[in-house]
Amino acid sequence: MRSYLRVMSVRAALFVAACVVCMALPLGAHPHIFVDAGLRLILNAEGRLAAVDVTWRYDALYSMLLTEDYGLDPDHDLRLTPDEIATTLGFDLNWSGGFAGGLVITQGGAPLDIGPPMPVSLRLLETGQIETVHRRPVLGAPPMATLEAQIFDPDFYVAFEMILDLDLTDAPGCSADLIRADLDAAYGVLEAALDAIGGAVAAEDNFPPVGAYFADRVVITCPG
Amino acid sequence: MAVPALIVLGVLAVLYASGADRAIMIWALEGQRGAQDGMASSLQALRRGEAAALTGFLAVCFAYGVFHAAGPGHGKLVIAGYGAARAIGALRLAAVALISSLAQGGTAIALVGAGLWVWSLSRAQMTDLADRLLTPLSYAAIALVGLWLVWRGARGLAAAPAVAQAGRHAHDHQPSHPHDAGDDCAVCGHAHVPDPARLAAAQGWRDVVFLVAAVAIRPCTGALFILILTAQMGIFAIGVAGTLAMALGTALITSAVALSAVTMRRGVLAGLADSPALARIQRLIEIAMGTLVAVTGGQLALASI
Repeated sequence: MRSYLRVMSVRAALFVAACVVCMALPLGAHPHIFVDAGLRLILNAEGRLAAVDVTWRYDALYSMLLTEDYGLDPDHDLRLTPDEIATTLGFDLNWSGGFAGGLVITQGGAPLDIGPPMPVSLRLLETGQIETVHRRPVLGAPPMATLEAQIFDPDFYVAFEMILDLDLTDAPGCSADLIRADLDAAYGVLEAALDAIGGAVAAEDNFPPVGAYFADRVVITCPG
Repeated sequence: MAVPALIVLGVLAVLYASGADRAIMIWALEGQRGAQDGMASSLQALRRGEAAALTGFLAVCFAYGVFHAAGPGHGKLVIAGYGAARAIGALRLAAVALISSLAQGGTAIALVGAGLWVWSLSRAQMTDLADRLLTPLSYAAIALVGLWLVWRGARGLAAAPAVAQAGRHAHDHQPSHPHDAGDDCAVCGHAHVPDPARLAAAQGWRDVVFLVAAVAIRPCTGALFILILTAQMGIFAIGVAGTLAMALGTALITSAVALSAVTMRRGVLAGLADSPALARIQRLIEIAMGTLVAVTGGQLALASI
């Protein structure tokens, strides 16, 4: 598996393959995996951003593949045993090849230093979807002001949408606004990028890395 | 059934020919998630033993094939490149596209069948085989098709001044000669051999076999997903049926690309019908398309090693 990562020309493919250890993935970088994402902000005693919990909810087909791959829920009752959870937790956090989790947080225009992930939870939803949560420590954040957070895969192999909860219970007084990606603009960029490689017909594994243009944005405003 | 299918094909071909191919890709990007969710829910129903879910599963596999092929890949490059470079009948190239798609599905079925039950491969090993061996092979074969076009174009160009007149003569007097693969070889130096039509037909068949092989070597990973999932669920036969439905969906797009490539070529050449440089222009188009296919295929092959 690790060795087959080398053949992938795109970072996103590296990420996905790495985050799902035994997953079979096609080459090419148009979205094959759809992930709904959510965030929970955790402030420290001084009111600075200390950590972020990131929720990833995989699409149903990909969840099925994961479920079969890890031998989860063999009786299909949509319930995972504590043992199944314990052995599978963190399966999607083994990032490599330049992908660093897709989370970008900026404060006053400067990106914050975000540490490596720690697994928090894994569950199987009634829809058959697998949902995982991991925590990213935020290092050396200035006092809270207005933050912008994004989760995206630059190569657009995974299409993230930040449509799950934005949980601010541990960030009192803050409020959040979800700003969806400007799809018209994103498709415009995609069209230009496709033109540059000779049109859609010529796009095989050289699909342009346009994930950033399709990324949602969350603006979090805190007092102080 | 056949008439609506042809209308859809025609509309898609016009979209590709008019440069709206990107609109198709955008539509495909947006449709993919729906198709993916639909496949998951119908597979869940099948796993619960709901036989009625089979029709829905096949339909959604077909749709997935359409969306998937409208995105990157699936041999559109080599099919379109060949159709633009060589004189081949539109329906014949569309048939080549259909056969390529079905053969590509066949590769996936053979790989998963043999991988699971003959070689006892894990999923990782199977996809490793597909990605590390079959994908570079497929791109290398595509690059070879490109080089083959370049070589024939160059050879024809070298011979063209001497035989162009004879070729046009032969063409003028055979109005019913089918526009088949290689038929313009009548103007590329073969006019002097005893039976140019038969030679052209033989070359055409060789080309067809090679085109199909170049596309089919590399199994569609969407099909691998479905086959491995259904095998794990104990409903492999349903996976095979789904793979074939998916291949038909893929073929809808690649056939449309084939039609549009052939039509565009005809349009360009029709405007030059009276030009004395026609034969040479055909050769130059062949060399240019061959170069594009060879360079792109070569780059992809190198990138995938």
